Amino acid sequence: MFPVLRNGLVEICGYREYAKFKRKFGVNCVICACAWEGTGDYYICGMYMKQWVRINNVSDYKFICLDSAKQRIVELFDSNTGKTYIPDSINDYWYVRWLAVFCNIDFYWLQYNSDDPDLARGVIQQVPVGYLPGYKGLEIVDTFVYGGFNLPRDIKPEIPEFDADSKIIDELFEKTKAQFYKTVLISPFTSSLTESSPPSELWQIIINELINRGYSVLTNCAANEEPLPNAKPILVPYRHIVPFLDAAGGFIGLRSGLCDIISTTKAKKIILHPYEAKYWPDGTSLKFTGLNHMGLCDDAIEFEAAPAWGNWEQIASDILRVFSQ
Amino acid sequence: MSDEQKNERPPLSKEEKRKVEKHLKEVRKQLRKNLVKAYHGWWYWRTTLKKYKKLYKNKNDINRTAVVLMPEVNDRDNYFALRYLEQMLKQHKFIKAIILTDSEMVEKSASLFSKNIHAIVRCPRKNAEELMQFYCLYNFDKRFFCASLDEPYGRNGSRIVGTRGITAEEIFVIGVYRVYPYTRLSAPDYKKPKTSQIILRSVEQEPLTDDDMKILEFLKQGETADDEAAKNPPEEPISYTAKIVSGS
Repeated sequence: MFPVLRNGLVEICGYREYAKFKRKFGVNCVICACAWEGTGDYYICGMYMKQWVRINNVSDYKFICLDSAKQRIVELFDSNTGKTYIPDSINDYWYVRWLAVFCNIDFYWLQYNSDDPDLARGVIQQVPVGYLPGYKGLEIVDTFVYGGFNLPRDIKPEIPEFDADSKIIDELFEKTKAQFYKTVLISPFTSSLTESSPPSELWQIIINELINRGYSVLTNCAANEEPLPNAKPILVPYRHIVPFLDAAGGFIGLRSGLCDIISTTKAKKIILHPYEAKYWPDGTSLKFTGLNHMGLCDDAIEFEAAPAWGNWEQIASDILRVFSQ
Repeated sequence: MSDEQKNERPPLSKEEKRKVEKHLKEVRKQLRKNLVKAYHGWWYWRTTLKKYKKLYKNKNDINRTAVVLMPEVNDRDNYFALRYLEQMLKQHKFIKAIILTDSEMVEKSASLFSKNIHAIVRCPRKNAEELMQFYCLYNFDKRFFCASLDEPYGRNGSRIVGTRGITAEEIFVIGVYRVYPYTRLSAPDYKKPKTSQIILRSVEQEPLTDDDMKILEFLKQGETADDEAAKNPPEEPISYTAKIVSGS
């Protein structure tokens, strides 16, 4: 009986947060959300919000964001400007999610997944990991579009707008002494695959050889992240990242949500998919989150690692072949 | 953080506040009703397990017994639930299953699919809803399986059917029963009761009763899955390119 009471309290906490939201934003304002920490998840949601709002005749909504960085991702898509909300404590919205599973309320979790063992009533489990992600090529955008958003099969996503303000782009190059069309931005960090990082030697070999070939090499990192040796740190704002990369020439990234955001750059883009994964079966990263397979672009060069990065040397060699002298 | 970043709004008018309170009253009513339902679901679960535990010589065997709720009289999902029951028991290391169902067809045909059914319990829709409401409160027991693509509320498994050519059967086996790898099984042969004759679907050995016909019709769910897979070939991904706007 105790678990029943305890979980009943969770529902009541969920109701309290839900009521707070409604008293702030009004009865017609619905709540939309995705996994709080998934950068790519916000981007995918941003792509389809406009269509979802139109098809479902939603008059007003707020998209819950973890912080201002995630907010900026959703608002890359013009139709979402002014439609995001950063609550004081996002963890309280976990209770609202529980309430939405228990009662029919206007809280929409726009990705189809079960990422909590106690909320495991969906068919696409991610905690614990199930086997539908990647099955027959089922990829993550499918789970959003058909599972979460429940949109028709011929739906087209909204196009994001990036800002190519030349003053800002020039400043970024100036600050790091990087070269136009001969700079490679490396993104070695990921929030959802932290156990699957490649050996540091892979980055070192790539960075040192690129420098020998006359390239400028930068690490995309926040203030609390350590840049890679010999690769200057830079944090390119999301709104400028695609124009920045178009001017830089190259991107190499460990599979993360940032790869979704930069998917439309004309620069050479190389994505490394680890074998081990936390939220989908091992060995399915390319099938579940590959940029080309998801239809986000058709020119990404994607590598899939062997277990425990057993083929990292081959990968390093293949990457260097992409960037000629 | 600035008001702009937080996307603040002006306070609600009196009329808007009144509408909000009316809406919240409805939500509270629904929450109370569902909590009571969940409590009844907990009670039903507890009493069912207690009753069928007594049928075991070794009382601990109840801990290795799956409890499969078939909430609907939906032939398709019930067929999948029965057809893959043995695989599910093996995958999850259960020795037997208790089936909760309101479907006469399930009661009549379950033995065709598995010899490891501990009990088939008549579970009216009201009890099924209470049990599912309890399941929506939290995942209360790893022995419990709700054998439906679209129930309990929010499962929406049917939304994924057809994506990349994935069939309802595959989603059921991999997603609901969590059995992997998936191997498609065809329907069992129907052995007419009180006779050792096996009746093949296309050949009549002796006059079939209404019950026989209904069971054969039920077993045809296995054939329908093939047609579905052929109708849903894998799809091409949608492509698009981003727009770059000049600086502000």
